[in-house]
Amino acid sequence: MRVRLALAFILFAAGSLQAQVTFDRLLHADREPQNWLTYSGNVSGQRYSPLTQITPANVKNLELQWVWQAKSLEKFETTALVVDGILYTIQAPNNTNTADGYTQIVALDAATGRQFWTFRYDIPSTARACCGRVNRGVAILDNTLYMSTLNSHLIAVDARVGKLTWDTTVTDTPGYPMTHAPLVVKDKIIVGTAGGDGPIRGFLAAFDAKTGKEVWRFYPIPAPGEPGNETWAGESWKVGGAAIWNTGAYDPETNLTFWGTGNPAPDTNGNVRLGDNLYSDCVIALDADTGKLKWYYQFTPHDEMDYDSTQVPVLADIEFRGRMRKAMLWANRNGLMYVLDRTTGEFLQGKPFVKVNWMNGFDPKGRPIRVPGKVPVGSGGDGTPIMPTVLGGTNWYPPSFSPKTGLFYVSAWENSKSGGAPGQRGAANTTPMADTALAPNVKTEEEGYGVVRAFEAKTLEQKWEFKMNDITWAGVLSTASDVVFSGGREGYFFALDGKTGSLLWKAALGGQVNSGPMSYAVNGKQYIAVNAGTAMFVYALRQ
Amino acid sequence: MKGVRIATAVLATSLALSAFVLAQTAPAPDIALPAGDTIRGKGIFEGKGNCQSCHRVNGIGSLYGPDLSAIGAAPRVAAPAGGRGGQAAPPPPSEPTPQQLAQSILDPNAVVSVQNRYIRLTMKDGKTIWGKILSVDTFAYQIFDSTEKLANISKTDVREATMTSPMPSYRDKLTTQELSDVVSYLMSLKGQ
Repeated sequence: MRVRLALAFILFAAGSLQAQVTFDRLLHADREPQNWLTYSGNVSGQRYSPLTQITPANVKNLELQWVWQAKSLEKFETTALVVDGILYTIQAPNNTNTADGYTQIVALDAATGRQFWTFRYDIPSTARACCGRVNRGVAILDNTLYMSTLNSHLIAVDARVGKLTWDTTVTDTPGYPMTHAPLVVKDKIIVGTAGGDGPIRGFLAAFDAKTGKEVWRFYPIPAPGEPGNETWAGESWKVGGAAIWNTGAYDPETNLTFWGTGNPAPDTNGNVRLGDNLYSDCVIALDADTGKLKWYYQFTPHDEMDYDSTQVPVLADIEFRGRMRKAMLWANRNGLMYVLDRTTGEFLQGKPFVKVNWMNGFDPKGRPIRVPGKVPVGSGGDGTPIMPTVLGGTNWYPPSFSPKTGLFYVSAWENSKSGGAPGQRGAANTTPMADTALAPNVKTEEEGYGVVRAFEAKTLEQKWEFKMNDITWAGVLSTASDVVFSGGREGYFFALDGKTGSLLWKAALGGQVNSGPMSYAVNGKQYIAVNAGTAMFVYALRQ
Repeated sequence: MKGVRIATAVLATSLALSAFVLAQTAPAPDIALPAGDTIRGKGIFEGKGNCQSCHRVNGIGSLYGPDLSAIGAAPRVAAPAGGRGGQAAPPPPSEPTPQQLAQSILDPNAVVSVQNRYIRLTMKDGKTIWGKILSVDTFAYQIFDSTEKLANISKTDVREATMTSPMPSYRDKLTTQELSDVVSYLMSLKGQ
C-alpha cells in the first residue's frame, strides 16, 4: 500500500509539472500550436494559429463537433484558452444592470465540450459597464487562471480544481469595471479598467501572480508636474477618462508592454478639456518591470469622436522600405491603419482602411492633419457627417496578422458616419451596438456595411476584401494554412482564402458573432472555436 | 489495528475522509479513543501517515483527495428555504465527532459524501486510472485523476468501473494512540 501511495505521489508530481504553463511557454506559444495559451494566441497580439490541418481545400468539410451554451443573455465576447486539452472560457453575468449576477469560469474538455468544473464569482448590481457586462477571457500562468471582474477585482483561481486562490481589489472606487483578459508578463498579471465614458482617471496596474499584491500602477493621464499634464486645460485631467479596456501585447526583446488607451472624457465635448489630452487615444509602451512610460504615439489628439484606441497591439517583424523593422500594426477606431516602430514609437506609415473625412494626411511626425469643421457641432463643427462613426472604422474585436502571408486582416465598417443635420441623407449613425440575437438589417450600402479586409503589412495596400451586408463585431483568426475565419452581425461564421478573400465555407449560427475565433488541437485533430449569440461553437473536419 | 474496539461496523458505498453531511445522519460509531495530542497528530499526518500525498491542509498537500483544511468544522450548507407546509427546517449540521473521523481513517469506505466520490477505471488496454468523479454522462466520465489532471474518459475505452475510495485503511498502520493523535489534529482544523 505504501509503495502504491509513493508511486501515486510521483505520478502526481510529474503530472503537475507537465500541466504548468510557465511564462517561457507563453513566450514561445508557437512551439505548441495545439494550445491557445493567451487571449491573442501569443504575446505579440497576432491571433494566428500555426496549425495546418484545415486547409483551403478541405475547410468545406468542417463539421460541428460540440456546442457549449452559456446560461447568460450577455454578449459572449470571450476568447477561450486551451491548455493541454482543457478549454477555459467565461460565462458573463446576465445582461441586466439592475440585478446582482455572477461571472463564471468554466473548464471544459476541449475535444468533447464536457464540463469539468465551474467557478462562480458574484457581481453586485452596482458593477456597471457602459456597453455590457462582458468578460473577454482569462489568462493562465503555471496552474493558475486570472480573471478581471466587473466590480474591479483581479482574482486567481486554481486551473485544476476551480478554487479561488486569491482575490485582490484593484480599486474600490465605483466606475471602473474590468472586462478584458489579463496579460501575463513574467511573474506579473497586468490589467486595466473600462469606464472611460464616465468621469474617471483610467489606469493600468500590474500584480504579483503569486500573491495578488500590486507591483506598479500607471495612469495614462499625467498628474500636475508630470509631462503631458499641460495638455489638459484646468482640472479636466482629474476625470479625463483614458481607460484601458483591451488586452495588450509584450515584446521580450525590449521588455516593453504595449497598451491602447481609450477616449478622453467627456467623449464628444472637447471644450471642457482643451489640449491634446495625453495620453488618451494612444499606444503606450511601458517597461514591464516598473510600469514606467518609455514611449507613446497618439492616434487622435484632442479626440471628440470617441475614437478609443483600445485595440489589440499587433507586433510583427516586417520588411518596410527595404529593411526589416520591428513593427507594430494598428487598425484604429479612427479609421486609420498604422505601422509604428515598436522599439521607439516612430511613426512609419499611416493611411485609411475605411473612408475617413476628419483628417486628410499626416505631418512628418505622424500627427493627423485635421479637416476644418469635422468636429461635433458643439465644438464648432459644420454639421456635416463625420466618418467614421463614433463606434469607429473598427472597434475592440481583434484583428489578425499572418507572418506567412504577410497580411494584416481587419474586421471593419465601411461608410459608417456620425453627426450631420437631421434629414441629411445618410447623416444618421446607423451603426448599431452589438447584441446576441439576430436583428433585421435594412441599411443601404451607403449607410454602412461590414467587411473583412486584408492589407499588405509592409505597404498597407489593400489586397482584398470580403463584403457583408450588415456590420460586424467579430474578430479575425488566420492560420498557417492560409485560411481566415471571421463572422458578423448576421450570425454567419465563415472561412475565407487568406490570399484572395474568396469564401470557402460558412455556417449560420443563429446569433451575432461577437468574439474572435481561435484554434487548437487535441490528439492531432484541429478545432476552430467561435462564440455566437450565447453559445460557443466548435468545428473540426469530418472524419 | 491494535487495541481499537469497534462496536458496530457500518458498511456503505465507499468514499474518502471529509464532508460529513451524510455522517450527520448516520449513527456515531462506538470507537474508544484515549486523549489525543494535536501536535503529535500533525507530525503523523505529515510524516508516517503520508496523508499529504492525497490530502491538502491550508494550501499544502495534494489536490487529489478532499481538502481537510476545515474538516474539524461544521460543514457549510446552503440556508434551507424553509419548511414545507408547517414542517420545521432541518437543524444545521454540527461538527464531526472524533469517532466519526476515526472511522473514516480506519474504514474510508464506510461513510461517503456525494461530492467526494472516487472511481477506479480498468481500461481495455490494461491500464488503471483512478479519479475523483466530477461528472458522469451516458458516454463518458469526467474526472480529476490521481496525477491532478482533468480527464474525459470515454466509456467505450473502459472495461470495468468501480466506485471506491483510493484511501487505504490505517487499521494496521497506526496504534490507538497514534489514531487519537491524528483525530485530535484533524478536529483542530477549522478552516478560515
